[in-house]
Amino acid sequence: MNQKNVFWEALLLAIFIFASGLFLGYLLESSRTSKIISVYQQLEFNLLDIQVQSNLISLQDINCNTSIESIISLADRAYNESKILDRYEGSADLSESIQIQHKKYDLLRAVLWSNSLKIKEKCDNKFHRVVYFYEYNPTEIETQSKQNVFSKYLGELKEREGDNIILIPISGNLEISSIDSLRSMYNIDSLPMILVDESFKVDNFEDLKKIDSYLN
Amino acid sequence: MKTLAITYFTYMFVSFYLLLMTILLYLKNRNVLFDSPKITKEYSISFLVPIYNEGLTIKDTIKSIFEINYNNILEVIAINDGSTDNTFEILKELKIKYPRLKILNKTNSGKADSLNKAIKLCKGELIAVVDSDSFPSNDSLSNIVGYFDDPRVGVATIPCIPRNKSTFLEKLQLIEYKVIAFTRKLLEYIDAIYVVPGPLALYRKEALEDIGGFDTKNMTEDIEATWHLIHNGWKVRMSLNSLVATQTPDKVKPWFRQRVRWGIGGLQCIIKYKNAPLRNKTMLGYFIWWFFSLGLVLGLVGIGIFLYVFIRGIISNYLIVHYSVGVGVPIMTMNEIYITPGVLNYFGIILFSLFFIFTFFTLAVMKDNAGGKQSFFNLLFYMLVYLLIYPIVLIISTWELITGKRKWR
Repeated sequence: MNQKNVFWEALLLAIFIFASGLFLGYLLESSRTSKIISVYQQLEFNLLDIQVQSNLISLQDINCNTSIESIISLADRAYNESKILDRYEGSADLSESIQIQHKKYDLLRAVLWSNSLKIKEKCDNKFHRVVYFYEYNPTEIETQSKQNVFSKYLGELKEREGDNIILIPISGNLEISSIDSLRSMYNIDSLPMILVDESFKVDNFEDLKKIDSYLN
Repeated sequence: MKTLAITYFTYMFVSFYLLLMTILLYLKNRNVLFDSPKITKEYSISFLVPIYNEGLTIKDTIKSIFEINYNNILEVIAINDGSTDNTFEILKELKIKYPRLKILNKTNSGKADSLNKAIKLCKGELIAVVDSDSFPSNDSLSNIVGYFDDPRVGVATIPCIPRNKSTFLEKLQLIEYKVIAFTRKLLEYIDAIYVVPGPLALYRKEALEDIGGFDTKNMTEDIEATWHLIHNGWKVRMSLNSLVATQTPDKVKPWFRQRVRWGIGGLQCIIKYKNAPLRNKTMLGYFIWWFFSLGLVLGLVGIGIFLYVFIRGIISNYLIVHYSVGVGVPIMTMNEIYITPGVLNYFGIILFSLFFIFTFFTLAVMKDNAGGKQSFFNLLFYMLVYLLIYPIVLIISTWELITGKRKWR
């Protein structure tokens, strides 16, 4: 009748199976991170290309249309890839490696923005820059809901405006010094905040519709 | 790792561990699960039936006791605990038909006190306690009396099942009772049966005297008595070969009240035996107390987390809908519908599937016990809804215990 060794047997078995499950889970998340890294590297390469182009602008005449097309295309890709990144982040239970990728994407988008500013200066103001500063992993329900609606609004805006705008979402609370400097430079003192053409700021629902009027 | 994820993983690990333990116990004992000890001695047995307002069922209960195939039933003591219905009149009629029936008529003082008074009058070596709304099968004694050849066995029991299986709630309880009986039998192999059910428990009189009878302050005197017996070194045994049918609640409200009472009784036991883990060198201190306490903590924390996430979700969705309509954007986009399952989701699905298979398997093993087949829908409902109500029961039980709002009858 005395079968109390079953406590240890079950414990060892549970630890073994659970550890195997966690290991497989870790592999799953690692593969997702690898996918993000791979996409990021391609984007990084394209960004370098644009950086070179924007440097050339200061030296000689350059085809503005090509530069603008490139930067809008890259921004669109970065925007779409970030949706996948968000999904993977939401399902990451074990490691925080995807968060590091998120920071890299934010930096990349900040560089993209600064390049777009250079291109704008040299090539007339042919496109609008809509920079969306949002809070990464907000704890307040109000902020979560607000950002959800802001994101959907901006997604629709991008669909309507197409290549007329370049949409750049950036997390404003990841303690990245360059992004903090940008926030400080443009007085982005609360999150979420939408900055259009470095001058027009929107942080509430009432003013969202004014973006349409501003752009047209 | 996120705090919530750590909590979920802890839950899953504990659940997985207990499931594995049960599976291992089954694998080790599958060939002897339905064995019962042979009767080498016909111990004299006194039956005790505490009754309070059971005019509708008492006749069948007494009848079923006198129909049990056992030659040494000395007496059946029906304890009328101040019933206000026609119980006493029915008992007087039954007395004419069954001369060995004795009636103990007393003012209402609760089940435990009634039993304690009757124990003093018992002449049998063994005392069978039967609830007044329960109906033991003919072979209910012959499969468990043999256990008492071991002088350290203090109590033995058999599975109970709902008498009626017509309503949906009764069908769900049938699944529950079968799963409980199966796991309880498996726990016997580690001396960890934590309760002998009220519908039928056969005690050694000496053991009952050793623990001083039933605790009148506990809401579930059967759980307390079992813990007390184990605490004092007595063994608990169970046979799967017989059944006792019992009247189960057929409506949600009485069912809920019954579960709350059980919950309060369990909590009272945890408090009463709080020193057992440190001082008691039996399975009460090593496993049962921890098992109950862990269940309580995990249940309360679990429902807390669930409510937190659930309420946050409702508020968040309300705000999103409200703001979206105001701004004129879609309430939901394709990107939000697209689900990317995480490791926790996979773990949850695997664990749920294992529990589902285990329950399904349990019902298959117990198929020869009365009750018929269970529909797939009932089984699914049992796992997805019925079991999830328990944490709520736990909260109400804890609240009622703390506020002192508790009465047996």
